[in-house]
Amino acid sequence: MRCRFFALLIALSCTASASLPARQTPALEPGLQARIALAQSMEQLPQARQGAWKDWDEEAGIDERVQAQYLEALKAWRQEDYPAVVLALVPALKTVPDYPACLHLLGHAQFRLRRHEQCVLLLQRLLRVAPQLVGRTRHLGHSLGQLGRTAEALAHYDLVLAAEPGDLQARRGRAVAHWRAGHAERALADLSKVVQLDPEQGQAWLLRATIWYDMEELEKARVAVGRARNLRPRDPEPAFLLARILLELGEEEKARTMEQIFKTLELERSVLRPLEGQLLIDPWNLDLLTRLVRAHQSSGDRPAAMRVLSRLGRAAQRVGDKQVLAWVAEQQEQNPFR
Amino acid sequence: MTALFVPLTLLLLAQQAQQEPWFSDVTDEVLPGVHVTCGSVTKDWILEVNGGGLALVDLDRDGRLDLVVVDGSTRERVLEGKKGLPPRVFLGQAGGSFEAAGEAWSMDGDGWGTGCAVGDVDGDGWSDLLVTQWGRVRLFHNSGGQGLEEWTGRAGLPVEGWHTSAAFLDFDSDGVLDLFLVRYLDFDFGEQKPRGEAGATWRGQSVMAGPEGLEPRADLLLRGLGDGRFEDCTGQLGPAPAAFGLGAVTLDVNRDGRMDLYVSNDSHPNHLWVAQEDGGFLEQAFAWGLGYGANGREQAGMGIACSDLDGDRRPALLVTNFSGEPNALYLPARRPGTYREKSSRAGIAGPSLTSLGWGAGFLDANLDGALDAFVLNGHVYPEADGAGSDTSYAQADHLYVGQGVGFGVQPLTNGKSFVSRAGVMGDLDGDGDQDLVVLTLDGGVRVLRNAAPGVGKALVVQLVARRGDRDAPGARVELTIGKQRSTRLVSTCAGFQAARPAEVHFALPGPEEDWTLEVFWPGGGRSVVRGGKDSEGDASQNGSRLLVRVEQGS
Repeated sequence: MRCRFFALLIALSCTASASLPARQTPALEPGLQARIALAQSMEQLPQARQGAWKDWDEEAGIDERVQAQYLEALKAWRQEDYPAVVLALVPALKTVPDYPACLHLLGHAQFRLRRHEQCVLLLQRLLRVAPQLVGRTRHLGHSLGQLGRTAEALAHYDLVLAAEPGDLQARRGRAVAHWRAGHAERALADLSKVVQLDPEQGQAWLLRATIWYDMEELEKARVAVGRARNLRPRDPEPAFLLARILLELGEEEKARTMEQIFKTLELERSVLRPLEGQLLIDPWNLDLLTRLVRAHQSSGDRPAAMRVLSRLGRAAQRVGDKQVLAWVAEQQEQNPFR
Repeated sequence: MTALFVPLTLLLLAQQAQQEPWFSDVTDEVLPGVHVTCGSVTKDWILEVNGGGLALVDLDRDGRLDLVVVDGSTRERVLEGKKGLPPRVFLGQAGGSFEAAGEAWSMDGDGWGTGCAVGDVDGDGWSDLLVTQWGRVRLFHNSGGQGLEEWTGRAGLPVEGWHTSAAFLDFDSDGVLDLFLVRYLDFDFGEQKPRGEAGATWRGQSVMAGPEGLEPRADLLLRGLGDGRFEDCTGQLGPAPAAFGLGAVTLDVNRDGRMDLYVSNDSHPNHLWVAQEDGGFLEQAFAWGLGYGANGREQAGMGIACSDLDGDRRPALLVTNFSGEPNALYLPARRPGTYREKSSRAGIAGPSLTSLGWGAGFLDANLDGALDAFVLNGHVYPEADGAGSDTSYAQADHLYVGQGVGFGVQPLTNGKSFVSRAGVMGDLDGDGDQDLVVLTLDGGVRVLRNAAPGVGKALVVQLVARRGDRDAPGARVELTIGKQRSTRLVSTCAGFQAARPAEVHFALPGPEEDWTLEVFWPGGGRSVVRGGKDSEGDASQNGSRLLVRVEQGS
């Protein structure tokens, strides 16, 4: 999570600085240059992390409180505490309404919280003040898609991919939008590119399989869904699709076996999904985290159990719950791969 | 210049016509002041969120559809030992208006009313009324079109539980209607906790608890004895897990002439009970591809629309779902015995994502020969109006306009939002096109008149069977015009807590074209009616409507 986030920030700063000269023209509206300068501040993130936060955005004259709020939000993001990100950034944006970095981070937090309308509003606002950042706004496309605004999602993905042709998640998002818009061939073309650049993209294989299945290309679908299942063995969706394909291919015994696998995985997911949903809103809840650890343990997903256990440990540390800390230590001791 | 101007003007007019809502709200003119209640407006308990039921049926056989409104109750009434609000009958008048029926049609209040079904349980030629409740299931016998008499005490129907939808069908082909009852979950005000205390949250807000965490109840099958009594034969359904059942339709999924059952389940896979030769059923939703959404996720199934969309005699199913889930459109696949969920390809998934759908139905609203679909929407949580929900409590109802391949979406009415629930279609004003009656949660019963830019004429078919229910539920009616075939299955089951008229509607082209109507009667037998420019026979014309009454054996 942390790596992905910093990669995002670094990329964001590169885009901002790279496109800056082109944007510095007298035609820019008053204040826009200052806002772009704010976006540049991402470059100083390493210094910020070392405590030299004050140096950030000094020329732009940003209120120190805003910088503190942004730092607080970054810390919360790293801890997967998205409500805290929102809490920190909403007042920051009241002080500096068009602060690109805040808009960007808050938009992403709202996306994680599945508040897609909010995500759309924030990222659209970001693009009004810092249009050069369009290559870093694939989540705007994702949220538009989640809201059923398929045509807008497609248009936005086109913009993102024009700026960042190598953004595989945006390309996969565009494939989904093409699929929803009834353009199967275009969706397949995007997905082909995705798996060519990264053959480990399980979701892309699954979507390819889904489209081929719909196009009655059952053998192609079977191969693709097999790849998806290998990459995402605990995901019930590939198992479901494989069961459907096998059934239609007349391989009924294999289909029934796969149906049972699907139902087992689906049952596990039906336990996990509500817990994960509640944790988005209540990320430090010891009870929810404990139940999530146990759910992963009972499904035999040790890596996931260990990840959540580690998070539970941080949450218990936060409130000084010794009993939970002891349980976490005990569970971690039992991990042979530790 | 003129040559360019005229087509442009026509195009603009056509676009304008597209933008005008196809249904107009005429409630104030035809059914003013009819309100329903379903618990508190804050919706502290799950019992308070599903709403009541509707039936459109010609109870007195005067040629005009009558309306039955099934009302709910409140927690306060329950705790005080008071009866629930009574179901009400409104008799259809000329021009499509309704008037409250007199004493002979009145029904006492009883439990917490939820839905209804219509069928002739004793074969006397008059449609009887079944009312589902949180509480006992009630049966009202139609006394020769003169009024209703309660037969609940003698009927042998379940006396407790939360029943949602119901469907009459003759599953054992003995000429007597049997009954399928959909059940939701175990509910008790004393055992469950209200919103706030139950700890249930949705998007970070405290909401009423359920259905997750509550106990689902299995559906029931009862065999009709022909005299208004029923006996439980649920074992005939075979093994199937209990689920939070909400909607039901009868259908003939494998075209074997036997009635099958499809049930939409909330937060569980949907059920498909396929009738077997031995008189029993086998639950086969997974095998048929009708249990889950396209991605293998169980959805929160609410209402169901069911009809053959392309004339291949295989029904399509549209299941309405929770917000964040698309409405699911299941279309027959190339391989026999399988379906595929195609809401994305059909243009339904995207527009339905932020809505929570309930009642739904396929109808040819503009009589162009392509079936359209109405979907009624409204959230279960008043908290949906809070920030960041991506949806709202009141929502616009949708009309999916059939476009040959797929559907285009438009608001059903003038774009206003309601918390809609059950809905039923029927030709209220006798002009051939189908109008709608919609129940809103804790609000009015709305009447929506079809004002679609009609391009065709309606052929309305009424059947008269020789035995059992004279409306011939389970009969298949096929209209062939040239090489084009359309089929309809006769059923009074409207998918979610509602009952619709048994008559079937087709679009007819111009009078110069010949057509053939075939009726395949339940239990065997076929009738053929031919029509067109030289047609004669038992048909009556009324403006844009041609009514054909087909009697079995005629």
